[in-house]
Amino acid sequence: MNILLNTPLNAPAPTSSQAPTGAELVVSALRDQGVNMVFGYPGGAIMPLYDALPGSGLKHILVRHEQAAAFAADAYARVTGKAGVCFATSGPGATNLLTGIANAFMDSVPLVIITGQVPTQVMGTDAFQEIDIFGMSLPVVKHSFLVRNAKDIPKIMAQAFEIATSGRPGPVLIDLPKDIAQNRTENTNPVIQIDKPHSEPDPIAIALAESMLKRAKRPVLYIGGGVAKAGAVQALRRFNMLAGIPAVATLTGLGVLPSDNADFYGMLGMHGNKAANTLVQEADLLLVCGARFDDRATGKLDTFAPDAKVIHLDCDGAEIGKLRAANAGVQGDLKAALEKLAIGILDISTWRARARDLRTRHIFDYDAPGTGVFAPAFLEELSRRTGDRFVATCDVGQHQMWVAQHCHFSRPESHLTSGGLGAMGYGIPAGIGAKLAYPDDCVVTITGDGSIMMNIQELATIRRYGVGLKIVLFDNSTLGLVRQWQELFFEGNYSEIDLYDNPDFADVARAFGIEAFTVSRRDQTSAAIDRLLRTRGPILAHVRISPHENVWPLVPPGKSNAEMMEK
Amino acid sequence: MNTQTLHIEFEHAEGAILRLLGLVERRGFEVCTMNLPRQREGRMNLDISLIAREAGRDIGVLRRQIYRLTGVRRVLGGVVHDTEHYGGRNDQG
Repeated sequence: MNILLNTPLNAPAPTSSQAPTGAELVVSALRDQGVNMVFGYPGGAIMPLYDALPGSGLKHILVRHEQAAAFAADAYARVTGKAGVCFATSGPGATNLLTGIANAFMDSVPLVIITGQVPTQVMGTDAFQEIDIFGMSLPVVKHSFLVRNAKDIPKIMAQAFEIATSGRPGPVLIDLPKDIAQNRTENTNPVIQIDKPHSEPDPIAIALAESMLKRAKRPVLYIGGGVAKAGAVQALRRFNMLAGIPAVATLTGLGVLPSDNADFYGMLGMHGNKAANTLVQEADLLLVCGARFDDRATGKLDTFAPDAKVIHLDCDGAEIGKLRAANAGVQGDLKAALEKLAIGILDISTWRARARDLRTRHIFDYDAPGTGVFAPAFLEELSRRTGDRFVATCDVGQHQMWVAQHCHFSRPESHLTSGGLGAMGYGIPAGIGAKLAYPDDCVVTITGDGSIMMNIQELATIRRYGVGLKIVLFDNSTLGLVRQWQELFFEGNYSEIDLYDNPDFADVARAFGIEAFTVSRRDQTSAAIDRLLRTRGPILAHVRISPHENVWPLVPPGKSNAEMMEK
Repeated sequence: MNTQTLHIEFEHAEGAILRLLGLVERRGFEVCTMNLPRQREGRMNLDISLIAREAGRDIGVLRRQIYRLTGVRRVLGGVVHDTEHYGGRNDQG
């Protein structure tokens, strides 16, 4: 397989003595930024850009739906730390990107999105495939540009990458009218540096934080996704190797501390670990690093960590005090802030013993009744046997929570999940993006029978490029998390959750040219994982599970994390 | 809830005003009045008076949300009391 990816690009770089077109300037700028892979789907208004691609040195991955281009670029960015790039045409192509753009915005992922637009002379006339994507995307981009003059393209492209990747990362959209992309231009406006200052952590705030930490008797380190995005993973690990503070993580903070770290107590929040939630509720101090007090993490906010003072470290000052007032707010580079915090060894042995006791009492139980496949045990074994090369790209639903609860993560890049937006359909395109970025990693998409149907067409992309992605599809013939909530919180009034008429997913995968098999008994688990791990090419494991299985433990919606239900 | 006034200095660019006003609305504030005197060299000022649509919306947080927008130079005004010690840029003001 891998035919197209390895095929030499079939045209030489442009050697024309003519002035470059706007599209050629875009391609040139992408190469200047070190981009070597883009995800997209062509169409009318963006044809000039596609005309400039052959021979450019850029690898273009042709997806089968624009949403998948955005998701794949998102995952590519999450694992590489560089901006992901995607293209789409105007109108429906652009609107199809919106969910992916919103996903990147919610999870602070650097993306540069280039959309074709109708020619400037017909903009505002309801022209064919004209949509104001600049206006529609305003709430879900970090910034955006509408190119009015080809001379501005180098400057805009440089700004877009700088904005997308600096400070708190995020998506930047560039809307490129067709005539601007086609125009030739002799002179371009100079690239300028963005002069918004980066603030160093305030020494007074650092000193206050140190003082609070030294006085604390029951501190908890609260890790969010911002730690990895700030490149502060090693700084945090060094900090806590000395401090020994019991630590918990949000969904996107998993992997910052390895799952087997002695001071790590798992995920907090709605489907978190009871030990983690109890520690936070009993804490007298929260050291919050790169987290935003998301409602899925805090539960009912006014009962969250009621006795705790808060030190909040974040590169984004707008997050400090947004939902929970901080006693010390430290805006700036997280890595620098963690390196400056000098607290020595804390006298918290009693608190650490309490934490260890909680862990023992609330350990997950894999001894489930019955003979069917138990998804938590399947995932635990899969991630444990895969080791440090394991990368999970999740869809959204029960399986997503089981991954967060039961998989072993040794680094933050090993857990890609649609955290803030919760977008079903993320898993497979994200798996494609992650596997293309790092072919030697063992990338596994964990999906459900609801989620996979949101972007199942991307099996064709996997086949086309020979992406060695492993897919584990937990099929309970229902929208499991919705069914669980209807069971628990809507008096068993099951409404529109039955997916009894799913296709045979193994047959579907084979129809796309992908190896597939089905398991339904628990005693097939290890053999299924054997087959997944030894297969080099793409493979789908269709794993039938009980429709009655729920995700435990659970904080009921709107309740305090202190009210966690364990069954 | 009291009406508060913010003074925002920003670079004139396509969509900049929409971006500012959209953010204010989405973050739970109602724009009561606004004044938009154009200034020199592509810089603009926006003076807005606004009111929180519900309790718990902090003008200090809104100020920082506005300030982080690309192209915003300064945000002044508003009575801030959200953080005991805020170790970040506040000019914000």
